Order: sequence, then structure tokens, then C-alpha cells
Amino acid sequence: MKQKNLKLAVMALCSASMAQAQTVGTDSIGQRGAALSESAFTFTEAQLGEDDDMSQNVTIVNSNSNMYASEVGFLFSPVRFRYRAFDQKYNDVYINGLPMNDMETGQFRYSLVGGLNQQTKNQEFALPFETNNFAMTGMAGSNNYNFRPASMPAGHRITLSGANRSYTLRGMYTFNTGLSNRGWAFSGNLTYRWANEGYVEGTFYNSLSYFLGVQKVFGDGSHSLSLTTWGNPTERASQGAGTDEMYWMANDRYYNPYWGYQNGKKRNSRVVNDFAPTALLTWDWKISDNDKLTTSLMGKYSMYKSTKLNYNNADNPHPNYWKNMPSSYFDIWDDTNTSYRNIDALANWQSAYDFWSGPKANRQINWDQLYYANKQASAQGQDAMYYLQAKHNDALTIALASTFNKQIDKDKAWNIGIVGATNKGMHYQTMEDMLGATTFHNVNTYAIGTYSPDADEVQYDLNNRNGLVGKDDKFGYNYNLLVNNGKLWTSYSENFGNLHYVIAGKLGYTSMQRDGKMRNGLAKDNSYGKSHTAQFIDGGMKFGANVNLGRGNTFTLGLGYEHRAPQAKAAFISPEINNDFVRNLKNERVFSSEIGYQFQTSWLHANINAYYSYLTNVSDWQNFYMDDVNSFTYVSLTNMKKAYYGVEAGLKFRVTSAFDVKLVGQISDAKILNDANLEYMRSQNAVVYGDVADGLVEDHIYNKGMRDNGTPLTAASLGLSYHSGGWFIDLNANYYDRIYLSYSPNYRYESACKVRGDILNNQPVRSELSQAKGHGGFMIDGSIGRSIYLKRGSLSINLTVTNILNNTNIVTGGYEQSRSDYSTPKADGTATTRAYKFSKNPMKFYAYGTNGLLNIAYKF
Amino acid sequence: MKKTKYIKFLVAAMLLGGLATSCMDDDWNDPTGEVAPYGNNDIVEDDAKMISIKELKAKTVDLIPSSQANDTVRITEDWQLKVRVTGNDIQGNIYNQIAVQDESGEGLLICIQKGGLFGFLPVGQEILVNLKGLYIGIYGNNVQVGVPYTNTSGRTFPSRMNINVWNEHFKILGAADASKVVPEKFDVSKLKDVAYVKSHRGKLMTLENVEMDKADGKLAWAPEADKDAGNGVSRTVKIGGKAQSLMVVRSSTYADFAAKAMPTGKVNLTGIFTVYATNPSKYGYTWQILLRSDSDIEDVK
Repeated sequence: MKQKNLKLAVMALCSASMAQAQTVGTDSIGQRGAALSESAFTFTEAQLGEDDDMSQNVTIVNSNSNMYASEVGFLFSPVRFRYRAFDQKYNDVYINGLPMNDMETGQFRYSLVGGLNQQTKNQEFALPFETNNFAMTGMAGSNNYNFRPASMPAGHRITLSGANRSYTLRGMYTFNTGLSNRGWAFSGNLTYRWANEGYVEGTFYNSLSYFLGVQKVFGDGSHSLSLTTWGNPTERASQGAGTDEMYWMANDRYYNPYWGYQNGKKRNSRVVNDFAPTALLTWDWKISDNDKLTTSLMGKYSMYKSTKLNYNNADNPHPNYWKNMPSSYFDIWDDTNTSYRNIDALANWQSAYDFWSGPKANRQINWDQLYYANKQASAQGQDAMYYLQAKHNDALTIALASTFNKQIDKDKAWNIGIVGATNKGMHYQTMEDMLGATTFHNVNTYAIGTYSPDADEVQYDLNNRNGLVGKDDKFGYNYNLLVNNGKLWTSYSENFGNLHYVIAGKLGYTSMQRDGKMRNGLAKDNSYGKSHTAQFIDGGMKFGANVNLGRGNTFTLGLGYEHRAPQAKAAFISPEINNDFVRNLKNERVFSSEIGYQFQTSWLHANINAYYSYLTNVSDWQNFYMDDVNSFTYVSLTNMKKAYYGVEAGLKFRVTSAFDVKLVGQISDAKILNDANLEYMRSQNAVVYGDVADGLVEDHIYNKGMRDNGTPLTAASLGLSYHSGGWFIDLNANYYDRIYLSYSPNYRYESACKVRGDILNNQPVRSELSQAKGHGGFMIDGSIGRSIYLKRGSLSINLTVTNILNNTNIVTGGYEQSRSDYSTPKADGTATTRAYKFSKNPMKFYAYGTNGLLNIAYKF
Repeated sequence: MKKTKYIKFLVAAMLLGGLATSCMDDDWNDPTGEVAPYGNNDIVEDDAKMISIKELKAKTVDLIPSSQANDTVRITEDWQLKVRVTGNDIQGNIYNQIAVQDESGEGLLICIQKGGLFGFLPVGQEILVNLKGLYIGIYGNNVQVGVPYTNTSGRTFPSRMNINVWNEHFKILGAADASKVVPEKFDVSKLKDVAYVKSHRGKLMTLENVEMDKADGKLAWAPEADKDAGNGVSRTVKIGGKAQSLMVVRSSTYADFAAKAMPTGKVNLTGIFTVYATNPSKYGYTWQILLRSDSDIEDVK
């Protein structure tokens, strides 16, 4: 009897992996070799996303049963592969059962657990239609990190690493006591990652990670309280994208326009400071052998600051400004352009080329000039012409999650959970450095000219007119976003003969509100104070099943449908200016489905899956500087339909007990199926453009067919793997293709198409609107490692080399430039074309050339 | 006991780590700025090469037939100009140009493709210009230095040179001294005098005691709605109480004061006096005042 109870208890504890255990037996393909896992992913926070405060380009995916899913997360990380091309917000990350995705963007911030490689190893993962005991699984999978000190392997571990990536040195010390006889467990970790200069010139990296946890088990083991606190204060300099013209002239695919020499030292204009200290209290209550209640309370204060060089009453001082490009003088694309294709234009081309491709300082920020000009401006009574501003996204988050797991009998399990969370996001801009100038005022210079300099409209804050801005003072915008969220979810899973199925459902409530701290002159009556509260009820259902047909054959099926509340980040038309919500803001509707087949024998493990997701009411929001109109523009796209579909396959062939051959591949699509509803606003006059039906100045967008960007939609890999006698040798040849770049909405505005003549018979010429793509290609990665057992402890040494053949032609992502190929249109709608063609010069990032990480870990 | 030791060890390690991770983005010291980081500091002033604006015009543009409203010639001689800046883009009205004058009393426009020129070419800044290799010519009846540009109609005129070319050709001489720049009083009696036009176009001058035609306290200098093909708006000046069509204030819609209402009372207007003419022999020249900033408008008390 006792033994049976014990078995059940073990089962209850392991119910997360039950489904997998049922179908695949003992093959633990998801567990990488100890030495290999140390290297984690090749990216760090510095590489994530074009909107670099969010880890939008990462999906944390893993599996014990699916050969494909177990490999791709790590294998394709050098090109920032996203699982099924889904936005990261569909990948739900939990810690001790508590949802950790950012409440405004919906995305998990990878930097939150940066440097905590040992702690994040300890996780449960569920593919989209697999069961788990902590949530209804997300469309891009769900993971639950276990941060309980008693669950961490006891002992000390020291890791030292050297790399030529974002950081060059890493040191890590981990100490876990394990659970003592008195019921205590303690866990601590300290990681330091550093680079004076990373792979990309002008980037430094300085990051400390800490983790402290204590756990007490009491009440005869039926209760446990664990308190953990961690954080990752990081300071890092960023890399900017470039056009192929820039890369060609710099003769460097990693040319970085963000830095320049100041007093002989490299100074980077874009420095990110990121720190989100978090504390998590978890109470585990084993009510009985079959019943378990897990309750976690989390508090987090995140501080994110990102600096940027900006300018006022001057040209863009960045060396990669288009007017510095030779092709802005000579039209290299159109041989009929007589104005920009003559001897004089060529002389200008040559002069610009000679300068830019000459000494390195010529193509970097000239800080000396900026300081000199600012001092001259001050002497003339003018505000700073050039300055470093800092964008702040701070947030206070408090969340509570409680989950009850019940093992009804050996074949049936039931979970129910409740989550409540509140988030106060604080968004504001400060003056980081005036670069030698003496004054700056809180005035909207984009609006001056449209409005008189003494008009209300040019004031960023009418409550403090012409406010003088000094170092660290707030200017431009300052607002809070208040988001509350409640969720109830449940799941039931059952083994029914050779059928295993799970059914899950959730119901949620979200409210969001903006609280303006400045009275913007362009929105006197609706910028200061609180907006109304938008409320959304959402929810969904999910069904997943697998049938074991015997002899290693398993079929799987998954179906899901949900309504998802929009993200607060995309809910306001221009949160930097006013309180207005986007029109047509609705719950996103998400249908997802999957079928799969698995074949497994002692020598072969193969998976093939096909998936299809259909989304409606999808909304998107962007803001960018558009110097066509010398103004910021805020763009909302709503009412989009999107489809994601593809086929994934993985095959592991065991040649000998030590030697495996692996084949992994996917071909997919991820695109918008209709033209979105458009709404955009310019910071120069707050006029809103869009649908006439909504009372806006008419414009439309033709973005049908645009694809999700920054991830290869075609990827394949052939891997050889040798693991024997403490040696681990892996060699992978990977192929990536169909890498799209982020499309520029304004290039596809009806108004822009008309000027270019891309509208015929009232229909857009879609062939003229095709999305920019990056180059794909082959990349060969390898790793070699050795585990050695010593008298005291063990040592593992591992060397990972990515892109062994130094293929520097593979694009990881980028974006089309948001500017037009013509100058400001005349009253009759015609416009003069420029020599420079923004539409043919997308900004790109290239995958790193040969890079490596040497890792030595000592466990004792 | 052993555990306490480890905990102490870890806490100590954390403290050490905290100390080690000091800020890497330093507090940056200002560059000394002893040597101007703009221009070509290798240029040496040479009296033998020195030429005045007046002489320069006489040897170049004055040789161009007067019928040519737009033309350009390359300067092949190794000439140097020593001039002082009189006008720039401080409020976005003058675009990609500076106006300069020298002791000969004449003015000239230099076309440079860069915004924020006032940051290194403030009014009163003396500069040395190596002219060899640059072009001089006439654009819309104004004398300009730059590089040739041929428009879609096939006409070539001096247009803005790229900043690299300009940087090679000029040198900043000492600190700017705005007090050395004194506008000349415009002589209304010579409004239609062609010789006066030719010697005074491009100069910083003041037109005294005039009014703006149609000013009503609301009509702005250069609202977007009134702009012409050149993104500018011309407002007629009233001289002696009468609208004078040959005297306009021309402002860019991009100027900081574009949306500012024109003054209704009498004013003194200071600016770079340029000219415009479609057919000068028939209609004469129209003076166009380019205000440098709104402080160039002075109320007459």
C-alpha cells in the first residue's frame, strides 16, 4: 500500500513529463550532454531584436519526445531562429508555476535570467499540444523553470569561459546545499560576463548575475517554502544595422555605426542598462499523495535604460546617415536619371566613397565635432544640437499564481490554476548627456514650423512650459501604463488504452490604462492624467492527443482556439503623446492545429509534424522617425489576418551506440493574408491618418503578403554526433533560407504608392511592394567536449565553434528603411526622385563569422 | 558550520563581484576642442593667393553673359578667400547655404550639403577658403560657390557641395566674433539700380521702417498651405506705405518662424538680400530678403 502511494506521489510530481514518458519511453533526446548545455545559446541579450529592449527573436523550445523540437532551439540559434516563426509572446515562460512574460509586450525578457545557466537548466517544457501541470500550453510552447533550492544539484560548480561573442569572458560560481536533514536548502550563484570589446567593434559588455535562494521543508515534508531572489544588472553597448553599401565600403559585415572616438577611446552612443531584481516566494503544499497545491508570489522591479544620439536643428550626425552615402549623389540604380548620373554626380560619389571608405574614424561618430558644434550653439544662445537621450522602460510587477494538481488515479490527472498580476510600466525619456552644450528645452522641435515657436502645440509639457532640461531630467514624454490581469485555467489528461489526451481551457481578464505625466501641447485635453480603462475578457480551449499504434508508431493531433487580449504596448495610437486607444482594438483570435507522426525503434527516432495556425484581429504597433516629414510617426495596424503553417521533421539514426546521425528540417510560412486597417499619427501635428470611415485623413496600407521577419522560414541541418568514453563530438551542417526583413509600413501606404505610380486602376501593383529578403546559406558548427572524473569532483571541458567556414553572407534579420525614394511631394502629387533609393537599401544584420566558446567547468 | 562557511564565501564573492563590475560607460570628458574638428587645418594663408569677393566676381561671373540666369565655371586658379560668415541656417530658413562677406564689401553664397551649419560656421566666424577646384556661378541671378548640378531641364548651376569637399576647402580662423558683422543699410532709392543689384546681392543688409503687406496679426511668414515649388513663401514688403512688388521677404516652410504671424507694425528687416528675376531686362530684379532668424525682425518704436 505504502509503496503504491509512493509511486503515485512520484507520478504526481512528475506529471509534467507523463505524456512524454507514455509515448517515448526512455529516450531522453532533450537532455543535452552536460558539457554542451554549458554553452547555452550563442546569443546574449546584446543580440536580441531590432527593438533591442525585447528578446523578440528567441523562442525557448525543447522537448523530450520530439526530435525536431529538441534540437532546433539550440541548433539554429546563430540565426536567431524562432519556433514556427511565432512572435515570442506565444511562448509562455513560467518560474515555479508563475507566468513571467512581460505584461505589456507579452514577451519573456531573456535578460531576466541572463547568466543563470545552471538555474534555468532545471525546467519543464511542453510543446504546444503537450500536457503540463502549470498552464494551458502556449501556441509556441511553454516552459516552467524550477527555481527551488532543494531541486538544484548539491555541490559546487565553477565555470570559466572564454569567447569571441558578445562577451569575451565569463565566470560562474554555483553552490547548492541540497536538502539537509533538517529540511533546509540553500542555493547561490554568481556569474560575471564581460567584454571590453565583443565580436562587433565598439561594443562592450558588463554583466553580473546573482541568484540566492533558501527553502525550508516542514510539516513532515508536506509543506515547503522557498524564497529566491535574483537579478542581472547589465550594461552593454549596442550594434546598429547597416546597408550592403556600408558593409561594402567598410569591408566589414559587422560595421557598427553607433560608436566613435572620443579622446582616443571608442565611445558607443547606444548603451543599455538593464536590471530587474526579482523576488519569488513559493509555497508547495502536498495536501495528500495525490493532491498538490503550488502557490507563488513574485515581485519585480525592472529598470531598463537605452541611450541614443539625437539631434536638434541639425542633420542626423550618425555616420550611416543616408546623405553620407556615395549612392545619394550618383544614381547607381537608374541609368536614365540624368540629374544624378553625370560627371559631376560621379565626382561627388567618388568624394563620398573616398571619405567613407578611408580612415576608420571617418565612418564612425565624430564626437569632437558634436561637442564643438554644441559649444558654438551655446555661444549663440541655442539649445544643444546633439545630445544623448535615454529611453526608460521601468516596471513594477506583482503577481500571484496558485496551481492545484490532482492525480485522480493512475490514468487521470487534473490541474486548475489561478493567476492575478498587476503591472505599472513607467515610460519616460531623460537627458543622458548634453555633449558640451549648456541648455536644452522641453519643446517639440518637430512641431515648430508647423506651429509658431510660441504656440501651445510645441510644448511637450504645458504644465511646465519651456522647461529647462538638464542632465537626467525627463523630457519629451512621460507616462505610465497600468495593466491588470487575471486568469483561471484548467487541464485534464487521461490515458485511455493506447490513447493519451489532454484537454485544457482558460479564461482571462485584462485591463489597461495610460496615466500621462506631461500635458502635451498637441493633445492638451487628453494627455495628462488617466485615460479610460480598456477591458478585455479572453479565453480559449486546447485539445491534444496521441495514439500509440505499437511497434514504435505514434500519431499525434492538436487543436486549439483562443481569444487573446491585445498587448498594452500596441493598444495606444501614440502613447508618447496622448491617451487615445487604437481604433478597432479587439481580442486576437487564434486557431492552432497540428498533426504529427513519430516512429521510434532502438536505432531510429523520427518525427514529422505539420501545423497550421490562423489568426484574426491581429494588431501591430510601431513608431519610427520618418524624415520625409521630419517627424516621428506612430503606426497602428489592426484587423489583420495571419497564417502560420509548415512541416517539421527530425530524424535520429543510431549508427552505433556511440555514433548518431541527425537530420532536422522545416519549411514554413508566416504571413499576413489581408491589408490591415491603418491608423498613423505624426508627432509634428498630431493629425491621424487612416480610414475615412473612422473620421481620419484618408490613407490605407497594402501589407497583404508580408511575412514575419528575422527568422529563416526554411532551415535544415545534418548532424553527426559521437558520444563515448567521456568525449562529446558534434558536427552540424545547417542551411538557412527565406529570411525576410521587417517591412516598412509607410512604403506600402496608399499615399506613397500613388506618388510612386504603384497604383493602377485603383489597385496596388503588388509586385512593386515585395518584401526585402536577406541572404541565406550554409553554416557549419562543431563542438568537442570531454568529461573527466577526478579524485574530487569532475571536470568538463568543451569547445564550441560556430560557423567554422566563416560564412559571413547569412543575414539574421534587419529592416527596410522607413523613408521614400522621392523628395516631399508637390501640391499636384508628383515628386522628384532622389538619387538614393531607400527601397533598395534595407538595413541588415549578418550572422557572426567564425566564433567560439571555450568552457571549463569544475564540479565538486 | 560548514554551510555557514560556504554562505559567507558566497556573500563575499558577491560583494567582490559587485565591486568589480563598475560602470564601463565612463563619464566622458569633453574633447579639448583646441583644434577645430571641422575644416582643413592644413590650409596655410598665403597673401599671394588672396583674392577678394569683388575681384573673384570680376574674374568669373561678371564674364558670364548677363542673359544667363544660371551658369557655372570651374575655378582653376589657386585663389584664397578670407571671409566672414554673415548668415547661416540657425533657424532653418537659409538651407544648406552660408552667406559670407569680406573687406571688399561684397557678399557671396556658399552652398554646402549639411544641416546645422551654424554649429561650426556661426555669424562672425572668419574662414579661409581655398577656391581651386570649386565652382562659381549664377543660380537664379545670385552668385554662388559650390559644385555643378544639372537639373532635369538641362541647366547647370552651382549647387551644394558635399561636406567632404567643403571640409577640404576651408579652415576656421580663430573664434567667431559677431560684432564684426554689421549689416549695411539698404538704399531704397537704388531698388531698381542694376549696378546696385550686382554689387549688393548676397549681402547682409537692413531695410528700415517698412511694413509687411497683408499682415493682419494672423497671416504667418510661410505656412505650408501657401508654399510654392521651392517650399518657400514670398511676402511683399510695403515701403513708404505702398506694397512694393520688387521687395519680398522669402521664407522657407521649414523655418522655425514659418508659422509665426507677421508683424503688423513698422519694422526693420535684416537679412541676406538675394535677388530673383525671370526676365530682368523687362521686369527688373526682385529683392528677396532671407531672414536668418526671427530676431532679424525689429519693431520700430
